[in-house]
Amino acid sequence: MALYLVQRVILLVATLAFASLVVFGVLEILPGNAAQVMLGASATPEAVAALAHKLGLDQPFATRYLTWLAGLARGDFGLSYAYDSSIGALIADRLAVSAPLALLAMALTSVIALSAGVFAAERRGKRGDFVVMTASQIGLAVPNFWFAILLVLIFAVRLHIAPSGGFPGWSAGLRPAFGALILPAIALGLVQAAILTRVTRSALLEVLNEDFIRTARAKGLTRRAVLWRHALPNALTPILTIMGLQFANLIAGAIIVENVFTLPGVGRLIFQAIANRDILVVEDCVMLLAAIVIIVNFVVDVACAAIDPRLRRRAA
Amino acid sequence: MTGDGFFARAKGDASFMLGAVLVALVVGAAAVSLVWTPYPPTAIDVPHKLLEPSSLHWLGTDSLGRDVASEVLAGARISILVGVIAVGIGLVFGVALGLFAASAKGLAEEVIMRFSDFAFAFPALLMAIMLTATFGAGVVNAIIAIGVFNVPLFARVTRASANSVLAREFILAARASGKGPIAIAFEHVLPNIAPALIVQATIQFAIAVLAEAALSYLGLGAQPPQTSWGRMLSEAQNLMYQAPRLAIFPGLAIVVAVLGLNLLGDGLRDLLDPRLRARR
Amino acid sequence: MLLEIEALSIDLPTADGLRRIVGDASFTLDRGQTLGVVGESGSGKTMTALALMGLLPEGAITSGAIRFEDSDLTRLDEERWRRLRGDRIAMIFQEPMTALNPLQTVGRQIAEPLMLHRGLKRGAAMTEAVRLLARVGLPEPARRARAYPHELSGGQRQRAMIAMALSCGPRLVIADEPTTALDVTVQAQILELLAELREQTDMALILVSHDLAVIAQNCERLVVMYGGMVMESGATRAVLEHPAHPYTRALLEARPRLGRARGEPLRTIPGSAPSGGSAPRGCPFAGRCAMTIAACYAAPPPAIALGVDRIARCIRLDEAERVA
Repeated sequence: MALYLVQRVILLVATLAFASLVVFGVLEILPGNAAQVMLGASATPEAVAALAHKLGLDQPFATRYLTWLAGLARGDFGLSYAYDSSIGALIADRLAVSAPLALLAMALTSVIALSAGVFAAERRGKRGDFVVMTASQIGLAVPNFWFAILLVLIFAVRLHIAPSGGFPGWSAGLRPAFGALILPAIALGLVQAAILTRVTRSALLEVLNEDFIRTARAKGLTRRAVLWRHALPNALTPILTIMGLQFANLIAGAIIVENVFTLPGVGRLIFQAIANRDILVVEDCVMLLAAIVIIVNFVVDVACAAIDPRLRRRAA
Repeated sequence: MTGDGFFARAKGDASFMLGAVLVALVVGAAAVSLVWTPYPPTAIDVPHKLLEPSSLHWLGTDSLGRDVASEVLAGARISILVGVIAVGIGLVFGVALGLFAASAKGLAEEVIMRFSDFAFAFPALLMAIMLTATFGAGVVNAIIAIGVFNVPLFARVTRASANSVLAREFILAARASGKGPIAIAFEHVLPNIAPALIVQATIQFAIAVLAEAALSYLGLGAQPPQTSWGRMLSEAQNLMYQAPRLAIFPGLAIVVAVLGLNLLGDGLRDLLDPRLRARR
Repeated sequence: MLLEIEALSIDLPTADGLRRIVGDASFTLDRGQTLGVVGESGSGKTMTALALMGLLPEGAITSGAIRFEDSDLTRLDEERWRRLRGDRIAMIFQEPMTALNPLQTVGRQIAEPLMLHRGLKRGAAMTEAVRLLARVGLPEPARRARAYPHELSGGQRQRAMIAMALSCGPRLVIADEPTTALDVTVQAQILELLAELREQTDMALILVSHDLAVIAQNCERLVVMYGGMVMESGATRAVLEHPAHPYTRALLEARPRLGRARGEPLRTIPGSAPSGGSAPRGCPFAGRCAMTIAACYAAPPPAIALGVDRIARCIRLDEAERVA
């Protein structure tokens, strides 16, 4: 396991480094001088040059990339041109909304998908299975932002039991803050749950066909014990892997859903920064989200290896 | 495996039939909208704005007096266009890369697959947002952004299925008869992995439709006056209190298209690939 | 009598309705005895074994009686079945590769029935598991108990499987093709181990196999199954020395033997075995039998008693005797 961990950490660092290069590189090929774009066409060449110098844009690519990377490593995210403040503080502020939203949505997804998937697998081919599979098939087809709009229509516009958007801030108290996050979390989580339900069901069905399930039954275990002790742990690795991959979708979905509900999260920050041509903010935010996704997948890989001894050996 | 019985068996597959009907509905809508819509979908008629559905305007009018039914019909065009081209990009480059990886083996295969792993871990829509933000919003850039992320996916599917074909006896026979790797790839491997690719293409088509809607909703895809379901939804969102129905129809259209494609994909998988069916 | 199977029939649901997998099978087994069940794949032997464990696939319909220690198993509810399984009746499966849970240590899997049926605490159960591993002849049992299935060889896994089956001291052990997936040398060791264990305890053993040689060496009595029917049964020696049924005879002749004259062809049975009793009426072997007459297709052959504890199902037994 120790050797496996070392290998995985090396791979993690390499992936993060590569991701940073992609993020920085893509935004570098922005057409036109970034300083010119920021200041607009009417700016004087002197002003453009001054801003370019201030932002360090007159340095060579490698220097700027390494300076940026070194800054990130120190926790110094640089200065936002549009907000004229520390990007680190800005992102921290926005994460206070985005992180709880993502966690809430992920929790919702896991609970719904695991229970619905197990429910359907246990009733394979029967009515309950059909209902779950039909619901998940429809869930797959519903865009999360439309689902968000529908939720607003029902719960805010018709029933007036939830806010249609905005965020009161955590200082307003836990209840109103969570109240503002609950609909966005449902919009994000329920649609994600559709995919994960199918994955859970098929992973479980595959495991239930295995010989060792029959062995466990032959020992005299109850169906329930066979399910919990033998089937589910074996189905868990594919489920966790897909959950990790889904996390990327969840992050992207959060960007959109934050826009539907005008939540001041990281997704909305990226969006505003794109509109403001605040390149460094975009770079930092995208890098942050990419890093979160990559780290989550790293954690998933390690968790799978902790569950399945065969994965530990294969890597070594 | 597409023997004579394909259509006979297709008729018995509920998923395939329902999917085919829904997809035909969307394709039909796009085709009809090319020659006829009740009103020109982009015709602004402010005096007749926000009308309720009636015999004149089946689904009512939007905030600028445009006919919603005409817009929904015309919106199918962008969805299909984006889907076809984005999946096309993924197929052409992805299949080429995947076939190359499968026949080259060794380091080349490892490098290509590592890259596709990486692309998988990266939020695709986030990258699409970045790309469209960088190169400018618009349908063309949206298509490219979506298409780019289909490449590693098709590369992976191609490599996996090609490897299983390459391991079979008749490939050895073809090689023994002096056929080169490129000839083998085209004459033997491609026809054998086509079913898997068709199924994947159908699913990716659905994902492309969703992605286009999302990008257009965010204002990064279709630009006015182009009609797109995603853009209609973003406009409807501002009028949720006055005209909630505006947010219903474009969303339903997206659901019909995506549901149809997914069902079609599931049905095709069952019909084209008995091995996959057995595994389900 | 430990086990008495009487007129057991099993029907499985398929896409085309119910299908008879086992028809009117009867045999008995005494305390401490060994019984071999031999047949080709599709003969219904595995389904018969699963019926004894109450582990038939969902939707299976059984009729007839399975009397075990004076209770009729076909009438048990799931909860009472469950308490019997792994405790009084245990099973050893064919594939030691896939029949063990890959995520749990071997020791834990052997300890599980002990905790379940004997109420042992984990620590005590693990100690017992190590003892059991030693008993089935695994070197370094304490270390093996901590190993995962993929870290053991095929033979070691099958020994672990046997230790698991024996853990609660069952009265009856059913071994379904226990050596088919193993190397020939390992096969012999496993069979030897089973014989040894049976002598030490007074458990009865049902050995299910397609291999007549394996049955001949290890079982006192045997049952020959074909197309879901018991074609012939009796003491192993008697059946092998004087096979009554044309199928048993064909099976014996299809067996490669040392001392066969060079160039003498190996006899094969023409045709192929019916899968899952597709013969609608009549004798399932009729299509491949050299002695078939029209009457063979008319009705299933009745069981004819040929002396004490010996039956055969063939309407042409007299002629068969003469041909032999």
